[in-house]
Amino acid sequence: MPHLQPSRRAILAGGLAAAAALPLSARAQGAYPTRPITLIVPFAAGGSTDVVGRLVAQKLSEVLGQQVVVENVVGAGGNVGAARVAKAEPDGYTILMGTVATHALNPLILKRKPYDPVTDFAPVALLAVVPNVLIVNPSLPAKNVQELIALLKADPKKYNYASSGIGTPLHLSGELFKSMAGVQMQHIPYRGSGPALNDVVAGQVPIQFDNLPSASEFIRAGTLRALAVTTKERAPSFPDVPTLAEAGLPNYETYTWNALFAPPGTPRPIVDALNAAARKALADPALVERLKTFSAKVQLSTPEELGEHVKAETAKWTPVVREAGIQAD
Amino acid sequence: MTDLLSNLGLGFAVALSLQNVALCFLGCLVGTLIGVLPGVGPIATIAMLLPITFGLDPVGALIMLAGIYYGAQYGGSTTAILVNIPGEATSVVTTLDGHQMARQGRGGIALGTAAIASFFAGTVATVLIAALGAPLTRLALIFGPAEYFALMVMGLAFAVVLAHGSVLKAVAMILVGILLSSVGTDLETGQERMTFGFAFLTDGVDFSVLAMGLFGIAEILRNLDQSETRDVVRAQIGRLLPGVAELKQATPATLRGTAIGAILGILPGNGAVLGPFASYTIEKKIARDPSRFGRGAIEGVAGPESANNAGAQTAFIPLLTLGIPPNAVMALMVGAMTIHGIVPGPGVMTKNPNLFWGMIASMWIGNLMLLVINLPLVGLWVRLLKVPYRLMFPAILMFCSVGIYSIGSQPTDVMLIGVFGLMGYLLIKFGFEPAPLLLGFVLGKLMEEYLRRSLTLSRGDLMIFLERPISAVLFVIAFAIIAAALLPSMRKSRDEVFTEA
Amino acid sequence: MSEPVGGSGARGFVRGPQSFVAGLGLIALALFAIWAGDDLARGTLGAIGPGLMPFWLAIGVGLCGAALCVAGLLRAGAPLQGMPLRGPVVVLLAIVLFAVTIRPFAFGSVTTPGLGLAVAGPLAVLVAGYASPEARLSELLILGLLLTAGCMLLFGDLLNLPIPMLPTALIQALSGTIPSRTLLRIAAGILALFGLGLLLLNRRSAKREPIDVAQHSLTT
Repeated sequence: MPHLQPSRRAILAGGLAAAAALPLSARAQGAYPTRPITLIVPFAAGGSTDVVGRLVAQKLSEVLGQQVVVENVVGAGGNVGAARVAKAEPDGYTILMGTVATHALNPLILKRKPYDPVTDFAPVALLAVVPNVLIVNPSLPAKNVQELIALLKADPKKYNYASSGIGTPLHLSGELFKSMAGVQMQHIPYRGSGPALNDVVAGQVPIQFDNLPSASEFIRAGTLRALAVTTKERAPSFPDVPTLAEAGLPNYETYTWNALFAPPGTPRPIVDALNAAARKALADPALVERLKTFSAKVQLSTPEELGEHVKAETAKWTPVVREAGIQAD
Repeated sequence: MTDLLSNLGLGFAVALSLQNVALCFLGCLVGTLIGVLPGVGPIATIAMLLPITFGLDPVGALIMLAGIYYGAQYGGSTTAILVNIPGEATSVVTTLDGHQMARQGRGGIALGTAAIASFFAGTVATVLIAALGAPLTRLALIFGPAEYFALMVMGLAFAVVLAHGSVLKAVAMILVGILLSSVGTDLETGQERMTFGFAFLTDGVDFSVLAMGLFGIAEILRNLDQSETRDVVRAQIGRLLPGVAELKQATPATLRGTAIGAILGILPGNGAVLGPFASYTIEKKIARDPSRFGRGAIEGVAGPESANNAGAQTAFIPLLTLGIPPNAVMALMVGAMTIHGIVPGPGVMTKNPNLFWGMIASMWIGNLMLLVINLPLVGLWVRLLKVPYRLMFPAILMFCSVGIYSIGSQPTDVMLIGVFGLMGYLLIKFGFEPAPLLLGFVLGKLMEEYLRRSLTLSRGDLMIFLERPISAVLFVIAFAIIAAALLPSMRKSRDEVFTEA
Repeated sequence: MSEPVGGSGARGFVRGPQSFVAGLGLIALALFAIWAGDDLARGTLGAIGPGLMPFWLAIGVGLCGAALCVAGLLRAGAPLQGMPLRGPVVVLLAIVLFAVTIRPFAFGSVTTPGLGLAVAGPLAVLVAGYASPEARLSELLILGLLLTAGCMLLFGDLLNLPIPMLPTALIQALSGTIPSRTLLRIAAGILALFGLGLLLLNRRSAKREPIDVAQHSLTT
């Protein structure tokens, strides 16, 4: 049978001793946290948000002296998990690993909104940003972004591009590319980035927008060609790949981000304690290095900055979503 | 060849370290345990056990997680045989003959056959992966959306053969299954389909929920209204393990099942789900007396079980050589690798030979362990059948509820097993079989996805299915199967107008 | 699977009532599906809409239903089977009770308290047991308590699955005083003790056929 790791056991024992020493009355805010915290990851286990969530949760457990347990609450593109946290007790024991999908895109795409990304959460801290990448099958004659644009312009009906699903940041990265470059290509949605990669590697679909982490090994092995990354700066793991801005679309910038959110009305001291813990956790060089192996970059913020970030992202994506004409019910 | 041997040597050196053997055993044990519990799937368990592997080295962690995966695949068959609940899509067919065998007091033989057939298939699949893993990857890449669509159509043709009653009713059930699979958010447009505004339907119906309802709960309801059958279940128990004669009977089926399962498992578009169905169909078609199927034919257990296990094993090929996960459990393995600092992709085999070959070697060790764990347990499982039904069914009901709740933490999922249970009960009452429905459900979602993707790629040209040779061949097979299934029943219905077709 | 009750007696207009009613059911299902998917665009072959497959599937189901109806009219077949109510009603009740007590569940404005597996488990076993006319209260109580205790240790302690184990109110009241894992073990121990106590009492008082419940809870 699986046993607790010694370190976790020690933490638990430590927590027990500390908790037992406290009088009952003092157990409210002063000693937060006094019991395990649930970190809701609104996506399936194994995905990039889940991986970031689990790595951060492990470190947070050490920093906070209480276990941070990851619970995957999957459904409706992340909305089920996010809605769960929006309605949870604001006691700091249920927190969310939010993303650009749950806090900017889904609220724009879905007609029936289960929550408001601004008012229904207490922002805690931005954690990491993950670049997206424009990749093509090596058999495609385009060697760079300009050649791709020329190819697409020459035959606007011919080409398809794959993404990990409708309304995902990757789909919208593609739509933004189409509108900024003034080209046409047919979107082919997949169930996640794995199956999409398979068809792009096999040449069924020539072009794809993907997260840099899941595509990175294919780029390194040469089975896919990276034309550009979507962030303002080049990715440290792929210094030779230009940004779309450098490649001729000056204001193009998209990325996937991960941030911690608490339920609305969570007391300020708890939000601050979580923010401080996140900072401490992400100051760990081993964790930073681990995140870097799959191209996620640590980017911390204050709770206020995260609140502003959510608003800015919503403003940025609103026209893209409108232009792409995706509006589900 | 020498390469293969030295590679396998490296693999066994890694996998046979004391720590890795222990982890493999632990994984298999936990996997068997959760596989046997109805509803509790490997996904929830692996996700929750991930943090425990943080302290381990990546090879050890993945060996343990892989052990949970195939342990669960294996354990799911035990539940299918004993209480007629398929834990995974791949054990649906095992319920057909396996549970019948249990009802006839041959539960031990069914379980033993399943264990031995699985071990054999696992061994062959391991060798196959080791020897041909890299070249086989190419097979994964020639299958595009059109080929997958053709494959799914072929799978549905199998489903017609699967049924042993009326062909018309089987076709109706398949269609209902596909219809049910279309409930939820549409992949291409994001629109909600037939959800009636219920939030819990936006992601469609979960396979486990449907299977647990149609099989688990419906079976309880059916047993409750016929007191005779439940005594049949607890009749004499008979021998515990298959004898020489039975193994002889099961051997050809095992060989064929292994081959079918291994090939389908390589396809990253979740081809492995088809393995057991395809194997069952073939066994039934080539049997001298097809009417034995559905009434406790040992080939109906040996074939699909070996196909299931071979497929579960070869499903690692696209993961290890391409970094593409063919199903949800494999996606989880990708996450586990990433957490441990290994980014899955085509480079894993050359960059991490320890991991690659170690995992392959551990698969065979894991299969051996499953045999060692499960053969002695057969006696225990069979004794369970002696528990009076009035106590058995509340326990099954509770395990189903807990298991289903553990998948998505949604109380509505638990209620849905009640709804589907009632539906399954009504279906039985009206002479429908639930297995084709479940198969239609599993394949329907994939089928629609591949159909729409193929036609988007071809800009609406249906010829895409016939221009591509593999897809054309698969379509021909599908139509041949359907014709073969329909013709005799049509003839029969002319000849025997007075018996129900 | 189903035992075809060889219906030889052709009575009345409908000669195969089971097929006939089954066919009607399929037609009703098809109509329902067509209605439910009515708002969905069917699209074209090049861009298949979300409504295309459901629509044609529903047509297919309806045709199968019609064929079954015709078969039911023309061919003698199995009669309708009786449908006792006790089993389905009680089993469904048990499932619903489990679903609404395992964690807080909102029906509109009313929200049930989250009672956790410690309460939901025995409740489900107890209620479900009465689906069978042979139900005995003490036996079901013992089974429910022991199974639940086993499940709490297995799912909560060993497998770490995110299933609420104890009533939310209890966890909040004791928050910070006892670590959750210890609390879980204590609670499971209490349930198991109650179960075993009842088992002993039951054994001593009634000399009924011995049922090895304890072993059952370990092995399921």
